[in-house]
Amino acid sequence: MTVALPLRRRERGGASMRRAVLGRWLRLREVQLVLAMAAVVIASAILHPDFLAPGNISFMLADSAVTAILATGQTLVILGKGIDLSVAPILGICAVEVGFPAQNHNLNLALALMLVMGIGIMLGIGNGLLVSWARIPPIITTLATLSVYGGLQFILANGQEVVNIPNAYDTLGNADLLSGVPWVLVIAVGIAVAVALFLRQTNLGRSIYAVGNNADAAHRSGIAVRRIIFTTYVLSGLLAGIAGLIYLCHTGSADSTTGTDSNVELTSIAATLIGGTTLTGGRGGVIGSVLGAIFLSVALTAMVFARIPAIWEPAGVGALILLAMVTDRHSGTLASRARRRGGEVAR
Amino acid sequence: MQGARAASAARAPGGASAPATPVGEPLLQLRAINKSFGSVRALSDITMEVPAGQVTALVGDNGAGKSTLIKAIAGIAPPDHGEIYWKGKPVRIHTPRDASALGIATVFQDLALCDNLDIVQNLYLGRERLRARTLDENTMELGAKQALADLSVVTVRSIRQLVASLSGGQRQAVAVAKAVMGNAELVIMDEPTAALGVTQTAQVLALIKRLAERGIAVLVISHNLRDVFEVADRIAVLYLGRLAGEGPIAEFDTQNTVEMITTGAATPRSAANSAAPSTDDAKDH
Ligand SMILES: Nc1ncnc2c1ncn2[C@@H]1O[C@H](COP(=O)(O)OP(=O)(O)O)[C@@H](O)[C@H]1O
Ligand SMILES: [Mg+2]
Repeated sequence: MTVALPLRRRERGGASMRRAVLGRWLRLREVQLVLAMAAVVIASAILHPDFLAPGNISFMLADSAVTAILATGQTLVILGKGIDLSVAPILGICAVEVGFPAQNHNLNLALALMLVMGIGIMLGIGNGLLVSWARIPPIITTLATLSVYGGLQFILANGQEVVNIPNAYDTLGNADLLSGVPWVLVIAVGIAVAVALFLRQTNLGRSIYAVGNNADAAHRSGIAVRRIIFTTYVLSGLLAGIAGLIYLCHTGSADSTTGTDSNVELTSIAATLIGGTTLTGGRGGVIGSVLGAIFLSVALTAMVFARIPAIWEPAGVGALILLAMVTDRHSGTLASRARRRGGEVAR
Repeated sequence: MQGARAASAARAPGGASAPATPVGEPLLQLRAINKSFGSVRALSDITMEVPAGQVTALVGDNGAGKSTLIKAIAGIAPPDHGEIYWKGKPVRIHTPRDASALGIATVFQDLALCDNLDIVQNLYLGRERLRARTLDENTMELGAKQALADLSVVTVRSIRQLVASLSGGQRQAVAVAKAVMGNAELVIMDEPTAALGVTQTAQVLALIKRLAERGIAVLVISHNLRDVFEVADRIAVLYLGRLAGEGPIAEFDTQNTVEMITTGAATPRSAANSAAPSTDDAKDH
């Protein structure tokens, strides 16, 4: 952002100014995550050189793509002070609904994309209507639709399983753009950048931040609060649908419990929180969430390399969430201290 | 209702006490405004007017109905009965949007600012300037600077600092700047000095005077009579949901105002509750 430097700081110059700039950078979650990731990668590479093999890097990054896309939608919802637990079955329904036609009738990939977007939007509309018009609290609404959509997925899959996908799907899901850079991650990052620009440069994006921080103030400023909240759930549904297609392409499988069985809704929330978006709404952004998703994948793979048994994986995710929260608090204190100092300068 | 009669009675004599402000037409007129919360009658038959370009103070004890009245004008909680006239024409104000479309801006007690956004973002919230369908930050920065400079009372370190980092007086200034930027002709302020220290109170009072100098009418709620007598051209006293008295500041002094606030009746003859509009009574003096 184009933050005008306060006069005092500009005057100071030299070493102390450099320290101030560095301090501000270190408070950014994105920077913290990149540094933490670098530490994990370097430590793992020293202990296990295989960690840096292109195959492993590609694996880790591809593994984070589905989470990153889900977390991008989740971030929009959480910025508006909501939460979307139903992304798991939305992903699952979409994977199943294009998986079978793809397997049995070689469904065109572009058509598949349109299909998952349509389904995702419709299921997102369901959440959006319940939260913004029926005014049911987000956590209750999406807990209910997690169950309802999950049941629907079960019915739609009808006990069958997708085990084979056309080549085009497999290529999209598993080919690398460059060595170590999988296509699916490129797609996830592309989506996140588009959403980040949307958040930063459109009035709708700005409204999401306003609504999440102070819905009353937003309403009194003439913002259609309910429409904004509705929109975040529709976008989350849309992105969960796309994530469903990417999941199908990457894993080549889909069945009645895809998504819910691996708790992708919780992983997407974890990535969002680790990425610096706060559950209280109005603070954060999607780039952090993508980095959070990649960091989760890298950290969990590092655990595997360190021969930590897989049953510890959920505990690892939990520890990372807690670590992120503690860092949040700490940065928060630093920031408010700086603010108080700023207030004195003003007087 | 009795619109025609009240309209003819509503000629403001306020000019004498406010030489700096041109006497305007009555900008806002309320006729027999009623509002109940269950069995609590928060407002009963409020009939009053707010003249253009002047400062009208709305005073009254806790629970007198001051906030309820301005919420009715601001479209936050429309009245049960009664009529509102804006520049002589009957209007309906059901939402904050209706109010701001007319030119009524309200600065609420809680200021209704977003702490996570900076000053520019708050000032343009809900009416962002766009260029090629994206936010035009440069134009908004210039506009924000201008808006704050026009108030020329409070300075801030940077217009890109978060509102969360501002002092009480600065927040109040941002809230007022935001209200005025939409080309408001009437700014309503609910207890703007309640939470402030001496210096910042002085800033806000200066802010109110500055608005009146610029020809903007101000309706200000205050508990502090010293503040009221410092800035107001007119006073309206609410007592248990009815108008106990209204008139130019010259008709009031601290003693009779306090009396009216606490007992609902005082030197300007006690306002009859329903039959005759209380404005007429106040003006007999
Ligand atoms: N939302 C509400 N629900 C129920 N009663 C209310 C509500 N708002 C105000 N009241 C009642 O209306 C009366 C006037 O309140 P208010 O306008 O807030 O007074 P003031 O601002 O003058 O202190 C009080 O008796 C208060 O309890
Ligand atoms: Mg009040």
